[in-house]
Amino acid sequence: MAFELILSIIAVAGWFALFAACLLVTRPRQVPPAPATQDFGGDEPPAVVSLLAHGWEVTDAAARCTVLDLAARRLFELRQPGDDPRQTTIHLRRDTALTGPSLTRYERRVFDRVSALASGGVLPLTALAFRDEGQAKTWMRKLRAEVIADARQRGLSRRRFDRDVLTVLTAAAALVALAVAVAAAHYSHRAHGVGHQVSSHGGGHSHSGDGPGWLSAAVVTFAMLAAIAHTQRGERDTPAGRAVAARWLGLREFLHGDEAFRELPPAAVAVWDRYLPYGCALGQTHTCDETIDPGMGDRTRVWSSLGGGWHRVRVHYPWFWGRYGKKPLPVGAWAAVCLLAGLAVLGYRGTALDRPGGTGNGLVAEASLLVGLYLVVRGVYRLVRVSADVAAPVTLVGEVLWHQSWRSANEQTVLYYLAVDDGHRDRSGRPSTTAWGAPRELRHSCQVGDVVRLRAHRWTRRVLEITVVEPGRARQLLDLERAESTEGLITEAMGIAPPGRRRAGGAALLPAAGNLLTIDEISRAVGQRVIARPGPTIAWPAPLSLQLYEVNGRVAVHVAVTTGLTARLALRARHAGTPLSGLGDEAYLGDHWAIARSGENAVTVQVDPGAGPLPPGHLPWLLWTAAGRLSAQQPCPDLPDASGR
Amino acid sequence: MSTTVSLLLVVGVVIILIILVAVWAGLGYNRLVRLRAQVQASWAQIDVQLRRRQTLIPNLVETVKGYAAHERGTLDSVVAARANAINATGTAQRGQAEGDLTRALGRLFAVAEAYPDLKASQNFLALQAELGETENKIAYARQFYNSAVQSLNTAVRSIPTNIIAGMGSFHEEQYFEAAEAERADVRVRF
Repeated sequence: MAFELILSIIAVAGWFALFAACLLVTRPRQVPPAPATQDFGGDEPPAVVSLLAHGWEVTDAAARCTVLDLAARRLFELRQPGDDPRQTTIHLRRDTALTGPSLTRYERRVFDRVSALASGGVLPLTALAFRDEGQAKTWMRKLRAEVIADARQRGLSRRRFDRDVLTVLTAAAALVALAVAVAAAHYSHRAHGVGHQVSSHGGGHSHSGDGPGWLSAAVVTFAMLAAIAHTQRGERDTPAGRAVAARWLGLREFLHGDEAFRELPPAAVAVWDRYLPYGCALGQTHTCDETIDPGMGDRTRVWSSLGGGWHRVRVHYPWFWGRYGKKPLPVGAWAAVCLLAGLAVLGYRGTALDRPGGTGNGLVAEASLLVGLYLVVRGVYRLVRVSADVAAPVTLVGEVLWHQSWRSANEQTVLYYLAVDDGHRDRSGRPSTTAWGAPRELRHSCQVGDVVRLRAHRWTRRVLEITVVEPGRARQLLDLERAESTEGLITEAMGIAPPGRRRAGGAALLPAAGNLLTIDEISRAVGQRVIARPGPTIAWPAPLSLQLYEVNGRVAVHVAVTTGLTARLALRARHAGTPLSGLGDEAYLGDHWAIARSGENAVTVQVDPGAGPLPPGHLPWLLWTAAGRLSAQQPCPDLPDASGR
Repeated sequence: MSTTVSLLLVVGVVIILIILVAVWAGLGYNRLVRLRAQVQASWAQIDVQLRRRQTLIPNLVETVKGYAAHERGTLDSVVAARANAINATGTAQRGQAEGDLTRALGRLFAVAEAYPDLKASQNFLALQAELGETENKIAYARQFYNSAVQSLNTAVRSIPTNIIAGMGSFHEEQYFEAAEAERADVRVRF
């Protein structure tokens, strides 16, 4: 046993030693900064600079500096009305071009978030924070992958464990698995031998050799070690990256000595232009870092745009309320028990006093009177309140501010906090609300930002019914959480098909339909605000990527991307339409649809007849825009006016 | 016994106070040194850009002379302003001289508007673009310099760092003022 154990331990320890050596060799090395200078280190976007300046790690600074950079590039404006930088508001510029070739993927991600959340073109800077932890993580994960992809495409970063390292580690894992298999087989053989001797001497049965245990041990060992080796270990430097990083660190050295620069508020971007975003990327803007929060916001002070204007609502989350979120029956039952207990105490006290020899004084008698009265009053009060709750549930309309699980039972959430701004104000006149208790079955009835009609019991705060009156703007930002690895997201952002997604014929990855048109573009074309709803993506046998856009809860437009045979079949079915020249390789227009092919891929834009007729020229414009992005070569014209010009 | 303990206590407190004051003075002094170094570094950045502009001017003058030789007065004023800027010493004098140079250059470019051939000259356009870029850099460098001066001056004037500033001969620095012409060119964005 000792030999087998020692062999296995030595093999596994050897592998981990190799792994540690790989980690040591591939760690991003510290970059000595260039002499302090006021000049920019190059034309890299601030998010990429933040990656280089933070030891090849993407931090929250990437999102923060991108917000500032978009403001420095006048895509929107930051205004600070008072002394407090947290009062800064973002104002979208009316003349901002919606076409996105000049924006990188992560810049577009930030810009889309700002423009989608803005109400009347205005958004408080601190309202950029997320209100859903899952969404915050997904958004940040994708942004991180996109920044890394950009850095890799610029040759400034590379995967920490490249193919060679992974091959060495995998081969070493195979050797370790072999050693473990040998040890297990040897142990099995020895045990079998001993068992055989015992059975031959004692006449009993042998207990060894039941199944190929050595094979299982080898497979499990290999799988575990290979999984450890292939886990994403972050990024590492490249020679070009180190040179660029050194230049940018020169700027950091210069900014580091400037005390006043560190205290500049976000609105100072109007004066300092791109110095502020680069300063933020280099970690030299403390005030901006405190003001711009790309993570989870403060759940007790939440921005609301109910009624059009932005205001901050103070939200209270009950914690010690026994009745909170409970059904009327148990609350009523407990109240009845309380009442009965009170009556029993009072009754017992009366009996004790009437008894011969009862004195009717003393501490116990007075205490029992107080306790009895308290229980009776409490019981009656709760019964009255719960009866009133049941008799007259309240109905209110408000904006959903926060959604969070609260009480769990058997590892399942049974009650959720649901903060809704219904215009209520506290005694000092400030907007405030107390979160309602929503049962599990209503969890998915609404999203943060929706305007909802709520029917609830006021006293217990239990929600009975939720109806979405107006879907919130934040719905279009809902990102599907994907189990895909970070490396998969990076390769996708780089436009490279991950190995698992590549089709047998080696065709390119199917472009996502959701990336071809923005919500603003669809809204402008349809003439109404639309909400994006991701459709399914089918990889095989008929590759299809679908994106839906809804108006008032109905699908108004859907955009589909197909490829290969599916694309050819789709085009053949639409040959009866009017041919459109100069758009992709071929394109056709119908009454409510338009299709274009670009190489192997085809994009279809279909408008639901129920959405009403589109002004002339709007459908071809949508197709033109989508096809332009599909091929990434076609120029996108501006939206024609209603006359079709 | 109690007298000895009290004495030791007093001495201990005094020593701790002296150490605290020494640490505070050291930190304050270092901060002032850092601020002064930042002012000097920022000034060096301005200086680089101003010299770069001065280097571009002879080429510009030669180019303009080739197309508008009879605009001698304007050309001479640019040359004279450049000479003054080169010879100027001290922040205030330098700021004044550079302001004069900026105004002279402005007049030169205004004159150039009247000469289509000059406006179309690639050499002139390249110099104009380069001068424009340099002006931009000067503007940012001035912002950094003035920001550094503001930090230093605030520290020199504030209690208690003014005590260390007085002992360490730190003094207030002058701001590098924008030229009048640049001040007038404030654009308000809505």
